[in-house]
Parts: sequence; C-alpha cells; structure tokens
Amino acid sequence: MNKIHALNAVQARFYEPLRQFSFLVRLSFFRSLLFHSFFLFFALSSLAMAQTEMPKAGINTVRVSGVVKDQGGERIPFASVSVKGTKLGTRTNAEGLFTVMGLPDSACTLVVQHLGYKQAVLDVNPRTTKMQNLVVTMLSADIKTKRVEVTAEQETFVKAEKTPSLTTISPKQFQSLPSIGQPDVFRSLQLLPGISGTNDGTSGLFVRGGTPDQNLVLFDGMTIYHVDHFFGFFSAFNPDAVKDVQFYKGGFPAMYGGRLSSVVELTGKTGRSDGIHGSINANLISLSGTIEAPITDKGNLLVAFRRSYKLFSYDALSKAITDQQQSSRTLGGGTGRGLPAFIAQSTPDSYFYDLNAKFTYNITPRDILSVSWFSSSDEIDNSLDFSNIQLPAGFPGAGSGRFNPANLPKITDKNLQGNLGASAKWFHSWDNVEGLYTTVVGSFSQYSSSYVFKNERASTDANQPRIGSNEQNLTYDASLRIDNEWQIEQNHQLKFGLQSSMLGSSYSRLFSTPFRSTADTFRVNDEGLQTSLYAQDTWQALPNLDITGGLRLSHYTITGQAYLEPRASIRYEISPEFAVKGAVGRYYQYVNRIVNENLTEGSRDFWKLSDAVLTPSSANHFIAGFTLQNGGWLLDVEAYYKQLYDVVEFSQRLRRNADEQYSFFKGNGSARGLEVLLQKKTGWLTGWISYTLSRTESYFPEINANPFPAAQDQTHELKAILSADLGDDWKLSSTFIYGSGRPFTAPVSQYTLGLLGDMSESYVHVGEKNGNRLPAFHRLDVSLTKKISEPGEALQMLAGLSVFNVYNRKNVSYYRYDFSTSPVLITEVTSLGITPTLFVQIEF
Amino acid sequence: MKTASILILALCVLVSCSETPTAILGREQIVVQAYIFDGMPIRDVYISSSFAVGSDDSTNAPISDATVLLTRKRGANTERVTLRPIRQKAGYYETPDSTWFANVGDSLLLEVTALKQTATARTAVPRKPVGVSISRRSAYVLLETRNTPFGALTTPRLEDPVQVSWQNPNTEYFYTTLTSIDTARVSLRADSLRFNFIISEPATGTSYNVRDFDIRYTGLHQVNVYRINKEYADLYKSRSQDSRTLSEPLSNVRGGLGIFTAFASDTATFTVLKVQ
Repeated sequence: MNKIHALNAVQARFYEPLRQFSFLVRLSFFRSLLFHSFFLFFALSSLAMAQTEMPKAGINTVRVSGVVKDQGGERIPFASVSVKGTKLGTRTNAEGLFTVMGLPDSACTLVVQHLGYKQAVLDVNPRTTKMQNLVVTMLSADIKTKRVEVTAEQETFVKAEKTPSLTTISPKQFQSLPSIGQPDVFRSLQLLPGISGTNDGTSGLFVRGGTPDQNLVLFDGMTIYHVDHFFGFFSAFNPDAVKDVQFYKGGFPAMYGGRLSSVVELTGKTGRSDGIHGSINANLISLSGTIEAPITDKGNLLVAFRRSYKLFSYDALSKAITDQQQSSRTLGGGTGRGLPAFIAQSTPDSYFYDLNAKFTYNITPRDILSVSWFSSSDEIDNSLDFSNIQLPAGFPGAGSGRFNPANLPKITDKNLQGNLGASAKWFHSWDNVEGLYTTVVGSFSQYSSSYVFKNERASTDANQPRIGSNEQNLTYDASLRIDNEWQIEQNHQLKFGLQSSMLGSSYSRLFSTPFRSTADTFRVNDEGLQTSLYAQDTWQALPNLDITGGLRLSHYTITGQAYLEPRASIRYEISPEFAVKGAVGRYYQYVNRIVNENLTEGSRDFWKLSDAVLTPSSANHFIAGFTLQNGGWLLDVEAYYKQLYDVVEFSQRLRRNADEQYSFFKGNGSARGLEVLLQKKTGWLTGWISYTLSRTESYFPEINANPFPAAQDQTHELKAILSADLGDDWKLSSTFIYGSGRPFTAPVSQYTLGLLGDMSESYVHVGEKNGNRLPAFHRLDVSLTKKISEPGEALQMLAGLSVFNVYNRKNVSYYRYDFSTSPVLITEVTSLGITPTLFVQIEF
Repeated sequence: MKTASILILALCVLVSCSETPTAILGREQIVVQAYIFDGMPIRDVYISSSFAVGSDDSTNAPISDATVLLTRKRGANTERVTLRPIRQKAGYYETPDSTWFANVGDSLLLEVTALKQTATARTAVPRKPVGVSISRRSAYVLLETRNTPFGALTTPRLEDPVQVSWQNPNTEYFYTTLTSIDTARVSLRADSLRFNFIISEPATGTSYNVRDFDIRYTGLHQVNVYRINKEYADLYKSRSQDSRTLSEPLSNVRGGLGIFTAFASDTATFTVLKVQ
C-alpha cells in the first residue's frame, strides 16, 4: 500500500478506476503489476508519439492507410493488403484497418484479398490522391457481376496464411459443406490437416495431439471453455454470427497465451450499415434467426438466436444418437439382467439454444465501442419413470398381475451445460501516431455443467438417493486485456499489451451406493489471478524474409511463480511460388479440463485450475514446413514436434495408495507429426486433400512404467474435401475422412482372490492404459445446395440436402462393458448412421 | 482432377469394405494368492488363471502345471526351491521339504511361469508382534437360551471380557485368529456354527476383544496375533472394487495379479469354562 500512496496524481487517476475491479486488485502483487504495466504502456505510447514527431532521415515516409469493408459496410478483419509489384503489404487488424508504409513516391496499385471476397484493386498516387483513411470495399465472392471475373486465385473454405500454422476460415464459405443441421465452424476446422476429424461425439478440436481444453477459443475477446452442442455434433457458435475465424494450429505468437495447443479466434459480425437485414436458417433440428440493423449513423446491432425445435426429425435424430449409445452391436458375453428391452428404448428429452448479440458504436472516427454477448445451453434429460408403464402383450409377466410398476426404478438422469459470456471492447486509433492502435477488452466468461443421476426406487428419502451421483462443475474468468499494435515502419510491426484474468473453478462430486450409509464427496475449489505482459515484433528483415519474435511474461498467484514464454516464427520466400517457414515457442496453461476416466459409463471431464501441486502445464512447439503454390494449386507441408509437461490425469480406478479414493497424476507427453495439404483453389472443382501422420504419447510413470499412446493418438488420417460447381447455382460438396483406430483402455480379465479367513473378493482387471485400438474410422458425407434467388434480389435463398455417413459406416465410438451379467456383456457403441438433412437459408 | 476424383471414390469404396471390427476380448493372466507364515510349512501358495472378459468362464481356473520358484534370502545365504503341486488341492503348491520354512527377517521372491507369462512378487517376513498378552487365563461363559423364529437357541455369553493386546506404536496392521485346540472340548452352541477357527479383520488397533460369538467350545483356546505386511494391508484396504470406476485392489505381483505376502505371529492362550 505504501507504493500506492507514493503515486503521483496522474498515476493515481489511472489507478483509481481500476481499483473498482475488486476481482483484479485483490492481491498486492497484482496491484503492483497492474500499475507497472500501465506505466509501461503509457511510457511506450509516449515514446511512440515522440518518435512519430521526429521522423528519421532517409526513410521513405509515404504511407497509405484505410479501412476494408464489405458491400454492407461491415469491416473486414485480417484481409491481406499488398502493393502490386512489391513485397510491401500487411493484414488488416480486427477492426479492418490497415497501414502500409514505405510506398514509392509515385502511382501504385493496392491489392486487397480475403477469403470469400473478390479481390479488390485500388490505384493510388501520393501526388494526386489522398493516402489516409481510404475505404476499400470488397464484394462477396458469391456476387456475380457482368464484368469479366478476376482470374486471380480465390480461396474456398480455408486460406493457409503466410504465418506458420495459421489458417483463415470464413463461415460464409462453408455453408455448402455437408453437415447435420447447420454447417459448423468447429466441424469445418476438423477438416483441416492436423486436427482430428474422427470424433463424432465432440466438436472440440484435437489439434496436433492436443486435447480440446488446450485450445484458446476467443469469441470477441471472451474465453470460451466448452464448444459442444447437441451431443457434440456441432459447436455452440452460430455461424450466422461469426464474421471471421483465425486458427493457429501451433506456434502461435506472444499475444496469445494460457493454452498449450492452438488458438481459435472468432470475430463476431458487427452487422450491416446499409439498412435492416436479417437471415433465417432452418433445418430439420434447429432454427436460427439473425437480425442486423444500423443504430443512427454510427452504430450497428446484431442479434442471432438459434434453438432446437421438436420436429419429428429432432426426436428421430436424438433417438438415433441415443439408440446407438444404448443398444449397439453385442460382441460377446451373455445377456443383460438389467431392464427389459422395451424400457431401454426410451428416448431422452433434450434441447439446445445459443444467443449472440453485438452492439457496435463508432464514437469518433478513431474510437469504436462494441459490446458482445454470448450464451448457450444444452440439456439432455435421460430420466426414466415407469410408474404408469404397461407391459407389452406377450412380455413375460404381462397380464399375470405379478408385474408391479412401482418396483421399477424411477431414474433421474439429467445433464445440463452451458456457456455465458460478455465483453466490452474499446478500440482506439491514435491520431498523432499513424499506425498505432489500442484495444481494451473487459470480458467475463463462464462454463457450467451439471450431471445428476439418481435411482429413487432404492431411496427412503427422495433428497438422499442411495444410488446416484451428482457432479457440478463451474469455471469462469473475468479478464482485462489491453492490446496495442503499432506499425512503426514498413518492416516493423510491434504488438504489446497486458492481459489479466481472474480465473476460478469449482468441481464437486457426490457418489453414493446402496452399500454405504454416507456418500463419497469430492470437492475442489480454486481461484487465482493470471497476469501476462507481452511484446512481439514482426520484422521484415529482407523483402522476402519475415521474422516474428516475441516474449510473454506471466504470473500466476496460486503458485506465486512467474513464467516466461519466448516465441518466434520465420518465413522465407525462396521464390514467389515457394516459401519455407518455421516456428518455435513455449506455452503455459493454468486451467485444464481433466479427464475423469470411467471405463464403464463413459468419462466426464471437469475443469480445474492448476495449483501448487498440479502446477501449470507447459509445452514447447517446434514447427517447420514449406509452401508451394502453382497456379490454382497449393501444397502446404508442415512437420511438428510438441513436448508437453505437467499434464494431469484424474482417476478413481488407479490409486497411488490404499487410502486414496481418487488420485491426480502428473505426467509428460509428446506429439509429433507430418501434415500435407494439397489444395485446389480455382476451377469448377475446388477443395483439398490432406494427410496427417502423427504419434502422440503420454508418460505417467505412476500409471505405466513406459510411455503409452495418448487417447487422442491417431497414426494416419486422410481427408478429402471437394466442392463442385455444377452450374446454375448448383453445388455438390463432399467430405471424406479416414482415420486409423484411436487407443482405448479395456477391461481384460476377471478373477477372484481369496483373502485371510474365508473372505474372497471378485475383481475386474483393466489392461494397460490405452493398450487397445478401436477399428479404423471412415465416413463420407455429401451435400447438394442450390441458390434459388438471382443476384441482386432483395431476398436471397439457398436450400440444400445433406447426407451424413452416406454408406452407413458403423464407426465404433467406444466399447461398453456390463459386468452385471455373466459372462460380461460387451457392446460396440457406434456413431450415427446414414442421416439425411434438409436445410434452407434465407437472407434479406 | 478427374483421375484424382476417381481415386478418391475408389478409396472410399475400398475402406468402406474393409475390416469388420473384432470383439475386444481380454486375455487370461496369472493370479497369485500366496501366504507365507513364519516358521510354518509353505502350503498356502495358490496359482490360478483369471478368465478373459467376454469368455464363457466365470471362475478362476487353477493352474497345476506352473513352474513356481521360491527364493529365500537369509542374511548372506540365498536358497531357491521349486514348489511342487499338491495333488489333492488343484492349483496349490508346497515346498518339497516340509521343514523348509521362512523365518522372521527372510526376504522372499516368488516367480511363477504359466500361460506363457511370468509373474514375480517379493515380500519379507515381518517382525513378530511385540508384547502379546491376554487379560485373563480363564474365561467363564453362561449359556443363554433365546426364542428365535427357528425355535429356542442356546448361545454362550462371556461373564467377563477377554482382551488380547499387543504393542503397535507405528499403527501397523494386525489380525488375530482364535482356535479351539482342546481335544477334550465340549460344544457350547446348539446351532450349526461349530467352527473351531475364528479370524478377525485386519485392524490398526492394539487389542482384540473376544466376542461371545467367537466362543464355540469349552477348553483351551489359542489366540494368534499376526503382524501384516504393507502389501496385504494395502490389498485389504483397497479390496472393494466399485463396478462403475473399476477401481482395482493394490497388488505387489508384477506381470500378474494377486498377492504374495508373509506374516509373523505370536501366541497367547486362555481356557473357556462353563459356569455350572
């Protein structure tokens, strides 16, 4: 506190409003760090201003700046801006702004490109045209014009960026891809090399041997912890509300942190400025509506809502999903002694929704304020109540009077999970420093899940079921980020900032059995502050050599430790067609989704903060590759090696000693692989074929003496994504995925052991961790879309048919073991079979 | 590109026609159940086979043709014997020489080869319990008759408590056995519970109170107090497997399942007398 009293009046004025954030100023360390960070920030800002006022002699100071927008007036983030015939260029920032320096003092041509848009070309001349505040308007690639089409390449679906392991995705572009329901951002990302596409049960991303919790998912600055919707078949992000997706598969720069594997940065749509517009997206299981409207001449509002609805198709699909989980092919063993078959066919009740809202206001030409809201919820109610059940005729016991429904179990089985997040962002473009932009984001995000199971027949007190479990998990963060980007000169782009997050997690689990009078309870609650400072510079050392170096310094209050994360990437263009690239970096993660292994009922994970014992996980990335472009073809090859340290597993099966009912295990791991992407970007047939060869291992010495395959290990994965323009606005698309079998842990034998006296116990012995492999996965999906409206019409309509799993492959998700039977009943739980879906999209 | 499309299509057809998933059946493993008592003939070594998950078996199959080697290290001397199957007891093995004992302080290594697998386990014979004593040398019992749904039932009741105690400063596990060793004993119970051997559960206490239920006969009784090694205490504490999590008991057998452990005991005696 003495330090605070010593502040001068200016410093105190900055400090005082921040003190209102009780989350963020709770700890003395953070107070000190926050102050010093602000001091650093303003010192750097002052330096920037001073430097601008004194341009260095000999440097060409001709620069061009502006904003890139679409035809609706919405800013386009991360578009490529280059000067034709030179190596000069940059990308627009998140607000669509750009600054290019070092232009020749004569006429030149700006070329602007972005996924899903036609290339825009703009002639500028510093002697005759203004060079600041240019507005470049890009036309959607879907719009057909009468003039001759630009023959330059025009990526479909994805664009491999110059930065190593960075891919851009435009949600608008993948609406023709096959899907269940609506085309999905995360399902589309799963089609890229290096990301597993063989997990039907989750839209989470397994990136280069990582797990979904190791991905930093940012939506308008909010950290999103859980992405699954509808049994994981698609993600919680409504593609109608997403403008742009930047996806780093690894080697991500210093401005991102807190995760080990990848970064998915989603930018929400701001809405059009040219009047009220909207869209309706309907399919057989959900309905989505979006409305976007200008507010005065400075603001925009966008609201998007999506919800499942109860058509016959929703029930049919739910039933298909749960049927494949409940009564799949039996492989061996006897028959169940559990519920009769007609009971087991009960269909669960479920619903989901998500809501996005974003308000954007241009306070001044240099200040933009935006407020974004995101919430999503999924509920699956698998409860069974048979009090009024009537036995089918012919069923044993029917009509005999011996059957008493009251003796049947009343089972409550509910799973509720959801996200809630909000962010407020202030963007400022400094007027006295060209090319310096500051973004301040305050955000709150939380994920909660609840799973309740109870069998009330066995209970004497409905509130205290004797058989059941109750799991509650909550994880949240309240964050403040200050990000600055500054185009100091043409060959130096500096980014620096501060990010601070109050992280929290709680997990409780009550587990009761009829044999114990009291329930086992397991609770963990953690809260800590994670603060990071970062700085990175992208330096164009030579016209064909880009180097990005950065440093991130973090402090985590729970461990009281500081963590240093150096990052670097390089790209060298050997020729206009051929470039080599590489990246290295160190990464830390402070909150993990921990796998609670359950071999008989399926694992349920929970989020937990790192603590003094389960210290933050860390990773080192090493990436190298090359890009070869020739005409409309792109060959992109990357090899990666990832070291993982202090990753955590939780188990109630494996115990360190006899006094523990559960154990946390710390271990290390590694992932290595080779990814090959061959993309065809032009012509009537576009798409790509990718192949990934990889190996992911875990090493937990307390679980296995030797390294073992990680659960997400997959040796081979082949993907083919093709889209054919059939003419007359018909488009045929297909996705084919093949993946070799993933590992799993299997019970292998049973035995009885005699103890002292006449006591004996029977056991199931589980084999080596991930010692078995599932059969290979493969699936073909096809979709046919037709644009019904004509270009320029007020109402644009797209309709289509999508067929999931065309040849009805029974891909095994996992094996289920029923030890209540003798011999054991082994069931192959397969994923969804052939499933056709109709969809329609209307825009106005 | 057409060629590529055809190739992809052919690949789709190829992989879709590929393998049928095989059943995930488990495998049999060696189960060791071997208890060594200090100064006693080694006859409680039982070797069996677990049964594979998914198979039609439902019990362990005794293995009578295993190669069972027992190595005893006593000070600087190491001696190894091959155990032989006991003919009358399938799956049980004994030392060829009935005077070949393990004593306090001996380190033991058991090696079992069967099912094309080798399982090994180590243990050591623990120290004998210290300070074993009994609260009374003579215990008088009264016979009480109660009416039960099955008729009148006469059971013995100890007139005064009988307590066996020992020292346990390190909170180790012990168990006790109570054996009627009097050849001239008289039964005190009219029911069918006429065992002459009672065993307590392992516990970390320092005493055992003889219960009314433990008394079946008159005459001389012997109480044995056994010190338990950590491996058996671990097994005992983790013996219950939850069918949901499949939590397994702790085992000191490598390459197999089960338990190999040794016990050391001390003895006290008392006489049960019937109140006339």
